[in-house]
Amino acid sequence: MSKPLLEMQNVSVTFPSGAGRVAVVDEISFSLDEGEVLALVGESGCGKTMAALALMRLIPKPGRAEKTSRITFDGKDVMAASVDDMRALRGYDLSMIFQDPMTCLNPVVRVGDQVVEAIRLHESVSYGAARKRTIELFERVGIPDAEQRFSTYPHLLSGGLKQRVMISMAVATKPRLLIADEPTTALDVTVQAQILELLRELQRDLGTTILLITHDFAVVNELADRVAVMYAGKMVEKGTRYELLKMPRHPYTEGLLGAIPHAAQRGHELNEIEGVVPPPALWPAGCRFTNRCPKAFEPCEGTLPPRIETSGTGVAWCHALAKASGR
Amino acid sequence: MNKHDTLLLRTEGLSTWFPIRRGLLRKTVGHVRAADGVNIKIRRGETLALVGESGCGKTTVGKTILRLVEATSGRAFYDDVDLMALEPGAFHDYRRRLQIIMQDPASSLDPRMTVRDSIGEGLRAFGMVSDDEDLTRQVAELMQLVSLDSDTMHRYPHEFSGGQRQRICIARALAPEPELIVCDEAVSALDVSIQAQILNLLERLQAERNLTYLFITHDLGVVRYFADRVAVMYLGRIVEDGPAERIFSEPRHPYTRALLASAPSIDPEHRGVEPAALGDVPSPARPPSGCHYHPRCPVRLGRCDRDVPPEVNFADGMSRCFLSEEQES
Repeated sequence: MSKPLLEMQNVSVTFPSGAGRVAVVDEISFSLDEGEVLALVGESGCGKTMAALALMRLIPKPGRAEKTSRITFDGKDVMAASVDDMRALRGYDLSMIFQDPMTCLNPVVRVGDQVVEAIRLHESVSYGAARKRTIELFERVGIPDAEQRFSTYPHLLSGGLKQRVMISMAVATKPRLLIADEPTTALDVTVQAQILELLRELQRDLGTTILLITHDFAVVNELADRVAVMYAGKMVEKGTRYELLKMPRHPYTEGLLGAIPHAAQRGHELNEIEGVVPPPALWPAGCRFTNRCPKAFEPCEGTLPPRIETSGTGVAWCHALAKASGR
Repeated sequence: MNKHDTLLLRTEGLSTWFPIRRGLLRKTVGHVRAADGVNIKIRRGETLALVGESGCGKTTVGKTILRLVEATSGRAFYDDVDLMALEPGAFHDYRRRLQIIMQDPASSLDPRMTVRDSIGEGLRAFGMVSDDEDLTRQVAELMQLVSLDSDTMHRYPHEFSGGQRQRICIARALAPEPELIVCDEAVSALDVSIQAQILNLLERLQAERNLTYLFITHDLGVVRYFADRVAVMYLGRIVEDGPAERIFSEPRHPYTRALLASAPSIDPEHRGVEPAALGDVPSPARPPSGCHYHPRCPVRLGRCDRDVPPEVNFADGMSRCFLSEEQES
């Protein structure tokens, strides 16, 4: 087998707090093969966006990725890359789509010129050639009247069109890896369906590898091949889309899926996960989910949960699963 | 006869238009018809979900019924009294009977008021407390009702999590013993695990206190789980309504169908939503002519861009579409 395109190993991101540095992302590992879509899922504050920013080397100060983190992208050591190397990589081989297209587009520059700028930053092509390519891209991502829209300003576009501009900018340089951070969360559901279809098409036609960051399991189901679930800075479970949605093994994944309201649950009480995610400084030393877990027992609070292979493709970190499987 | 047989609220042609002003003299050059001839009915003890995408006017309808914004025209009968025609003094008692829970609990609580003062404000305003001690007792009861620790009543909103703040807002809305609560995207800003806690709480309270909910949301999963009846809104107009079960199994209006087809599922065996509506929602300031949905509609007829479709009534709901008219005859 060929090497994965991206390997994140023991990645930690820390922020200073009253008592030393607190790890908001704590030794997580995952990898992505060429052409694959991996979803990083979790509720707000679980560290999923920070993990992606570590890869982009864009963690806001005073946070930092710890030296023990290993990030290898396309054979290159991202942690050791120079500032110039990173600048060449970002927006070229590594692109990112953000949740809110309004805050990510420059309000005083015409949208077409923003895409031209992204192209010309990385490739030595004439303005005319870049403009032509941008209009083609706009057509490709379904922006009507692409030629006229080239010269409009962001505030004149609807949310869905702005997200299409963002996507065309992100894929303009045919990136090897596209990080999509909540790409449809700010959109209406009829527009979300269009953007999901667009991302699926781009992925199929260009073979782009996608790291999808989301809190929405329905979006995961639409796009992902594999899923990694995070809770309070830790990875709790990984598996294929099908096995994770069909047979979640970790109590947190199971609880989360049971809490989503849908037709089958009408008339039944929704599954609640008791309590709230504690703030990072108060995370338990052992399993972070201990105080909310219905299956918690003696070792959970104090010792880190073991890694359990739940299937040929799935893993979970859980004491209760270890006990059930007789280890 | 079922439990939902008495009508509590009925609106007739309720319209709320906001002026668009331009120039130095702030001349009115047009109107945003945020709500345009809205007819809804809510029976006592039921949950009506008002569904639609952003900018469709669903929040405006909720606020107009509570008279937080003034209606341009139309009527809203509550127990056969037209709320829109009442003098401010006469409306006072309805302020107690109709309450609202908003989307963002952080901005709907006064950061300088303790939880006790926030929850107790309504009790005081409606003269429902005898003294300070009584207030403390009632606030403590309300906090227990929504599963909050009553020892924390002297704290400020910032000391609570998002889910706890929403519980505070619910306790505050419950304080004056209302009959109808407008829940305006009340669970949309919350994480799934917290959202489930709040939905269960709202459900329990409804059963215990025979509450009626006008549940405003864009989340179809929540609607399917929670609502008895559904009204679908598009650019200021109700395009379809009916019992929740029928709306989900046999939607009549093309927009309802698009909305349902667009919602992705968490069932791994059902993947691949088909975008059924074309393009984006137009601006409510410049809605398309005729049927507002016609530019996005895959089954539109020649007349759809000229004529406004009528409300076509069926035994199980209304659909505002020329195609439904043909079905009916």
